[in-house]
Amino acid sequence: MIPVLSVSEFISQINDIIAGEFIIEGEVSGFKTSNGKWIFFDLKDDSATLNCFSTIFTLRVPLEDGMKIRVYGYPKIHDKSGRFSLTVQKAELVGEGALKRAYELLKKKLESEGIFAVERKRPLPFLPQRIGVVASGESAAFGDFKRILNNRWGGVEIILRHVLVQGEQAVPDILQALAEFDACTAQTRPDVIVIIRGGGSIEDLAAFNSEEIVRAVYNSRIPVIAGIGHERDVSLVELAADVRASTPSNAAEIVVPDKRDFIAGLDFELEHMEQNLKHQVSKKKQNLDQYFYLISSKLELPIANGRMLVSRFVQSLSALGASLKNKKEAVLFGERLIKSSDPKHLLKKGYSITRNKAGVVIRRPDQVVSGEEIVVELEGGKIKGEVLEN
Amino acid sequence: MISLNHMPAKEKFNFAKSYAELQKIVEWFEKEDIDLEEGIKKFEDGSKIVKELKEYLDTMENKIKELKK
Repeated sequence: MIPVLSVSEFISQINDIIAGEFIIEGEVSGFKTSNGKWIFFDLKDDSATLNCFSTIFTLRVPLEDGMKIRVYGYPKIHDKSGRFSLTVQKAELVGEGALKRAYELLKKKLESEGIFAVERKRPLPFLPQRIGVVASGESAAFGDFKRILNNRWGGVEIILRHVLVQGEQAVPDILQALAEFDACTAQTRPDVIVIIRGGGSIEDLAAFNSEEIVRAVYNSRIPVIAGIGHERDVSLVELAADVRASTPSNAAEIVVPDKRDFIAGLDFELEHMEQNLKHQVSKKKQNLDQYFYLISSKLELPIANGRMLVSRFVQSLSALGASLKNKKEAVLFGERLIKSSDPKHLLKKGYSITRNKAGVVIRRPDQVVSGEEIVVELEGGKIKGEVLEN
Repeated sequence: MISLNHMPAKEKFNFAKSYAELQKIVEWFEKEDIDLEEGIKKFEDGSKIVKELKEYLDTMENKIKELKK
């Protein structure tokens, strides 16, 4: 027998029956708030509508009409209005719109922390010998990367750490890969890490917009090049990396030089050195030429003079030789002259020297006065006398 | 009698180191006045390094390894 219930009893029973937690996905419409506290919106799919109810405090995610969301809550028929609605405890954004929104929010947050700061980006090694690659080993992305690398450069070691690049397990796997490279010892540690992934939807690339991986790339001790998706996709990992590659192929172009350009550079440097050398040689030769010119022009005069001097010298020598005999005679004559000028020699001849009392030699009569004492020196001695008359 | 493939002589050639040496020589040549004798010797050294670098690039292939966990 079906019991007869009051309205309240009926609603209460139904509420017991439907009690439980549910997760429902749908599109937001008719979003409105009331009294700054209550939130009302409808969750729709193609053919049905569900009233939703929540409070500002519970629903932290800002919602807009048209957003595709997932709500967690419990159904209830409200006594007073008899209305059926879902009391929402939690809401999540799903789909492109939602992921884009999450991306924007996370980007803002990390940017303010300085995770993307240009100043912290490290320079890449110019000539890496070991390149660590975080990618899906089977992917076209890795294939392109390998091909372009082999084309451009030779003699490097590529160390591949295969990872899952989408899905739930991607984030922990990629984190592990980065940790493994970081833990390498000096003998095996790569000089640079390249993280690459081909194109995909925003859901496919979600791992490369995750906070954990972005932080791991920022904290990597080894410089990182990241090339995720297509040119227009800029994942947060690429912003945190030291260098962003627009595509996996571009990553190969960035990580090593092109050997053709490099070799051309080497040839140019060699040529430049050779030019320098040649320039030095010609400079020295020029100096030498100038020097010789100077010397020869300067020497010509002295050489000419020299020759003249030499001939004069030779002439004088022979003249000297001739005059030497004369000179000897002259010397002898001179000797005789000196001897004959000696006063003592004169005295021998009978001459005398007259001096006054002071010893001054008297040559003229007017040097003495009458009565003055004089001394006369003769060969044998002296005579004292007196001037009688002058 | 099986003949073995001749492997290109690798020695302990360090590409980056040799390139750095070459750069030092290039820098030396930037001086105003260079000693001729020394310059000729350095040019010879530089030419030798260039030859080695070119050879390395042309003959050495890239090796792919997997990271050992």
